[in-house]
Amino acid sequence: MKENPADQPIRERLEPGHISVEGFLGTDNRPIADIVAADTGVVEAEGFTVEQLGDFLEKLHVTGDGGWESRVPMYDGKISVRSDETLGQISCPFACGTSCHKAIITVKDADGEDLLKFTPLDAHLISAHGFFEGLGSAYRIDPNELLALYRLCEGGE
Amino acid sequence: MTTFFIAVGSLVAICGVLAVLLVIADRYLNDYGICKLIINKGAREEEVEGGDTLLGSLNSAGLFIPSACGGQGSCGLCKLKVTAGGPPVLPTEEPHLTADEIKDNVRLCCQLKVHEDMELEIPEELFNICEYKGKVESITDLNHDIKLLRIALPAGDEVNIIPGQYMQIETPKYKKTPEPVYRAYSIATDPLDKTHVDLCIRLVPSGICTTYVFEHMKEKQAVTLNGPYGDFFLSDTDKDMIFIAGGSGMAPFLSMLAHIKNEGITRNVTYFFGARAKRDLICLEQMAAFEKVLPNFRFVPCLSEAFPEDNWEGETGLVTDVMKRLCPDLTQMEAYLCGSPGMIDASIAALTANGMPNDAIAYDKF
Repeated sequence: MKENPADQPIRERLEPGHISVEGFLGTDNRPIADIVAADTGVVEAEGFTVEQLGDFLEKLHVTGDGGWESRVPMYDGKISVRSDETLGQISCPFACGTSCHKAIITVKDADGEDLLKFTPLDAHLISAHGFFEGLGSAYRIDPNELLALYRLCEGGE
Repeated sequence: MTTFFIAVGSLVAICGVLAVLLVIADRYLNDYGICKLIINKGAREEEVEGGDTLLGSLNSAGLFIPSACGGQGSCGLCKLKVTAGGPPVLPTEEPHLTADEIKDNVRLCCQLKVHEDMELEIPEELFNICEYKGKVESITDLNHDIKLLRIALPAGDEVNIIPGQYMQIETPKYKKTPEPVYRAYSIATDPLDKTHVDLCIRLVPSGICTTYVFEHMKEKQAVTLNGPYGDFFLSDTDKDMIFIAGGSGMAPFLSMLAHIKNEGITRNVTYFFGARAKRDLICLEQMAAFEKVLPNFRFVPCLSEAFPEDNWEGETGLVTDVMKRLCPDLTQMEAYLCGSPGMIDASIAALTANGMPNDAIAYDKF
């Protein structure tokens, strides 16, 4: 489908090689607005907001940073987080002026099984732009999976 | 039927004319021509092709402005005073500028495009920063995710570094990267070696520059770099020093320790290096060699998640906790930090908790 001309510069920055080698769109050819609308729709249909989910991810990120690349238990041991940081910053592809530190945060359950992997930029993209990355992108966060993790940790129907 | 063909023909003709007009408009309306950059009240003038960013235009004129992110607008280092010319402050600049800076005409020159003559103020010391066309002499694995990149400068070229400074290295177009990008790395070189630049590079998943270094860069290939930049220097006091680093944050301390050795500096130095497991440690042989020749130097590697098979008998736990335990009184000491933002923040908290004043802490927080 054709991109909205106003979103074309954003699309270019989301494509491979501009901000990251692999980009943020994966195999998703839908216009940016459609990707955002589909994912935020899933979240809102469950009675939550993208800001809630983005803030939740940021909380996991900050807690993980405090562990300095060691695993930190959270929510009475229901999950643990670890933030692996590297030097440098990455700017928001939506060109809102935000830049985030480069890190990969991994979330595991009490049995040590992987639950989620995300970057600080993902927390911002979800909270500020409702963007969970395109289908097939290495760092795409499935809204349903994130909602399930949010419910496990924070509760809520 | 004739009417139909005339209608289609007219439509095609109109589309053709519009397409030609668009091409002409693009060629002439977006042609900003040659723009003049008047620097430091006319002390220097450069003529550049309009349309590029101010950072890119200055680079093409041989003036290199510090930019750790390579012009992405994320590091906020490329600030310059623009006293005339240019649009109002852009939304992408605002997060990096204070109210006083905006009032004082400070701009982020990677975001600002040159569309007209501009007047700028550039610190004199930046005039000495050079571009080098070096050659990759070697790429050595320091561990599983950090490489030491050694670049030889061309015969006749020399670089004078102050230990702690950094260089910007160009990643050329490759794979899906549409244009060259620059990234900043601390220099690990002995400052007496003026013909080489050594950089410690840690792989960043999906990182444009580090992926290039790890997967595509070959020995003997040409490489463009510029610098040196930065003000992360050793002070000239006699105070005892603490170094704290993790991962590729080792780089500036290799250069600083070589400088301490070269200059016969006798200040006490305790270097805390944090890693998760033994496989993450780097440069152990160099550290042992420094300990032999520098009687007042002590290297303290700390492992936070050592594997049982590591058989580690050294310090364990977070490097900040180890430092706090071994150095309970920091009131008369100085600290130098290089690492990830989380590490820097945790280190500052630990240092100040043990009495170190904030102004005694120097760091490179990329």
